[in-house]
Amino acid sequence: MGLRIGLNRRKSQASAEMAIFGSLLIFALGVLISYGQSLNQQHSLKMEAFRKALKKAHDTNGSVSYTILRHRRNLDIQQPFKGGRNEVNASASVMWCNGVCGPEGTKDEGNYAYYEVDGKVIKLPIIKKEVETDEGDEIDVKVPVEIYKVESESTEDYSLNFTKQESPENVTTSKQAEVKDTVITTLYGRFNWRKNSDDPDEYEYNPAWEWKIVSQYNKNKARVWQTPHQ
Amino acid sequence: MANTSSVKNKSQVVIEFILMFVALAMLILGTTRIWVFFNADFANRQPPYEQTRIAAGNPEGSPGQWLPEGYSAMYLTEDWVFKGIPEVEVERER
Repeated sequence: MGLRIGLNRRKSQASAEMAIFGSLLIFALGVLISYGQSLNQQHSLKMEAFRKALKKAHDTNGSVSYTILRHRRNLDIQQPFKGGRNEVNASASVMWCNGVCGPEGTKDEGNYAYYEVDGKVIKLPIIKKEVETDEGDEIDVKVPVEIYKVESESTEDYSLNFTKQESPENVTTSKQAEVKDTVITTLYGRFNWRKNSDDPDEYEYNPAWEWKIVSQYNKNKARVWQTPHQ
Repeated sequence: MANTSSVKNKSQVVIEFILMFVALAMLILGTTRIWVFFNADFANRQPPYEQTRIAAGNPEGSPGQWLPEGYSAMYLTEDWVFKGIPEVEVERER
């Protein structure tokens, strides 16, 4: 009796250890893979942002800031069939002026900013801003508005069909998953309107812009496997 | 009798160790293959990017050109992870 209880205890201990350390190990490996995936995507996006900024700077004969924000479905170890959403962003600035900055035949000063969210490009509006020169003169310069806040809302519809069919030879298992992921990204733009009358070091901001970008991601995944009867 | 019990316990431990070791080795192998994919993806992307640098920075070339024509991105597939078979062959420069 005593021996059996001892054995059961040892087995429970082994099971408990395996359950704890096994799940910890799988979690650690999942984090490692997830980190690698983000790193790889981030690197690729940085290259892309730089080349896109280069192109816009050349086309506009100006100084361009280009930001890319992209949502992707990445690995998620806890829900491997479904995956998880990941947000990657990168930004680059390029100045490529031939002669005076700005496109020929315009009064633009060649300062531009672009925001690309999931493939949709937004050119930020240009406003006149009063700045003080080193000599103390006040002049107007044309600059793009500033994006001061980015918000994302998302909805995810996920369905999973799991069936098992038994025949005399084997058991056929099928799993079918469908994900519909919708992300609404809102960009908030503002510009510093004027110097604060109470505190000359601070600006008053005019938050006058808002863009909503809807991105959708659909994916189906199916897997069928057979287990023969022994 | 005590000896038999001790041998049984040891055998149990050896079997558990072998099973866990195989499972662990498979997990580590899979993770390594996925990391090798990230490395290969980088190797697939970087040379074409470098090759287009001059054209991309030249007004007479193709300013701001992103990756060249004929470049195909790599995708992490089950064949890669479980069998080590790539979807796209990465060219090696010598």
